[in-house]
Amino acid sequence: MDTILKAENVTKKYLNKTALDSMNLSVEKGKVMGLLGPNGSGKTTFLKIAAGLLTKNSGTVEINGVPVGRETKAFVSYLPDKQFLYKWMKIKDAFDYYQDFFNDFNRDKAVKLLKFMNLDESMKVSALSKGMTEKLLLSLCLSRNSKLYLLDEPLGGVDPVTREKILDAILDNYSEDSSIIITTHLVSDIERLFDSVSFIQDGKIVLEGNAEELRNERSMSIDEIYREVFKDA
Amino acid sequence: MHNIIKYEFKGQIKNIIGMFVILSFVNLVILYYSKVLTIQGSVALTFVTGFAAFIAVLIAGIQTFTRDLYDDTGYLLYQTPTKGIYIVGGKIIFSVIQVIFLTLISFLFMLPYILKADNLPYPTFSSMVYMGIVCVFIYSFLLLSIYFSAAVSKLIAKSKKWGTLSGFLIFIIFWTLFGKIGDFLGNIFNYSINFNIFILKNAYMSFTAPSISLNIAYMVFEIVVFILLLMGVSYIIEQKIDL
Repeated sequence: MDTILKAENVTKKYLNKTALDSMNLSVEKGKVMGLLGPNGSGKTTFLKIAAGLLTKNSGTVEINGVPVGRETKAFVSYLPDKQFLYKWMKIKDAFDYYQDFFNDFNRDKAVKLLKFMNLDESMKVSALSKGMTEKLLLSLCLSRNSKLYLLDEPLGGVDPVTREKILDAILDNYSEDSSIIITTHLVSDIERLFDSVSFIQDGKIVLEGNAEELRNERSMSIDEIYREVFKDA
Repeated sequence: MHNIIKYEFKGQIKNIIGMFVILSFVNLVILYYSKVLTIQGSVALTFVTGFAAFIAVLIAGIQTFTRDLYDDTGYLLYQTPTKGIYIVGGKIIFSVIQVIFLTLISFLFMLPYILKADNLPYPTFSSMVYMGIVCVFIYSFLLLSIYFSAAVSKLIAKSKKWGTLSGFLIFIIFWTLFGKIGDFLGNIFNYSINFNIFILKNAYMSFTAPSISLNIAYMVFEIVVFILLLMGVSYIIEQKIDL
């Protein structure tokens, strides 16, 4: 099986704190991987490094065989856990922006997703609620025909109805040619999406494997495994 | 690069229009009261107004870069596969366009006073072009040196507060070193280009304003440093960005 992302011995330190400690991770092409861990475990740090928005102290990260950098940004679509659009923008401006800067942006797909999310292109970004913003940012992210999607806490702080919408959007718009890494600590809502999971604690992968095999081996759901692994965290 | 300029323009169009309206209004008021203020007073006030607007444009030009370094909007700009040099170049060009726009408006409001004055020295066309290029270069250089200070400080300090402070210190150190090295080179290679800016000729008199002298070594040094700064800032935001 081809590997889309390969990280070897990745270390990231913030002053005295080690966010990633010689972390190794690989993601296969066409698979959805859950990167699961409690707050401060290193999930966001890893995604930022993979997105080329954070430097690492040591180690290597390659995406599609290319070291992370400006080149990989052309085929990696990243959804941060922040509202990153300019406040002056309307949704239409955000679409224009993506279209101008990303060659893989599919406007038709974006319009369809927006409709599915019950949003309108004329809406101002600054007037959107947290849930609406999350839906917009996910629509932008998924509307790119990227090789790898990095979704950082896509369900964070949104109501159950919006969660379902977001999960449906991910399922419906994910192509088999591309891979997804989803970070979350809300495992029960999202575990049905995962082909594989990696549990991260203190910047290290403490458990990983095929989601179905882990469930069968332990006769537990991924959510239950998560609670067991991190019971002392 | 045009996309960077395009979205800076879209984001700041309201500020630009606001500045144009305020500048025009203040200048019209000065023009209206020009008899009371006298020509000298009116010219001085028009100049001060233009300078205040220039400072506002400069600050906006700085913020357009630092905003994406420290605020969450950086996640939008820096996740695009845009070359660092296009990002920096686009932001500088956008600010230069604003300064040119501002200069033209200020010049427009100066015209009534210029036309009223007798025997005013006028600039030659070539000197105007030359001075225009020099002014654009100096402004771009200043802005780029601030971008450089901000980018280096971002490598050192992660918070905006410490970043601003360290950026200011880097800026001071940079200009101190730049001035000293430039003077040193200027003294060693003491060759200059001289040119006249203002000429006055009429039936009664002929007058040429004292020429301006530009040291060649200093100019070459300035151009080299400009290129190095551009490469440095581009490299930092492309390879060393930490959001």
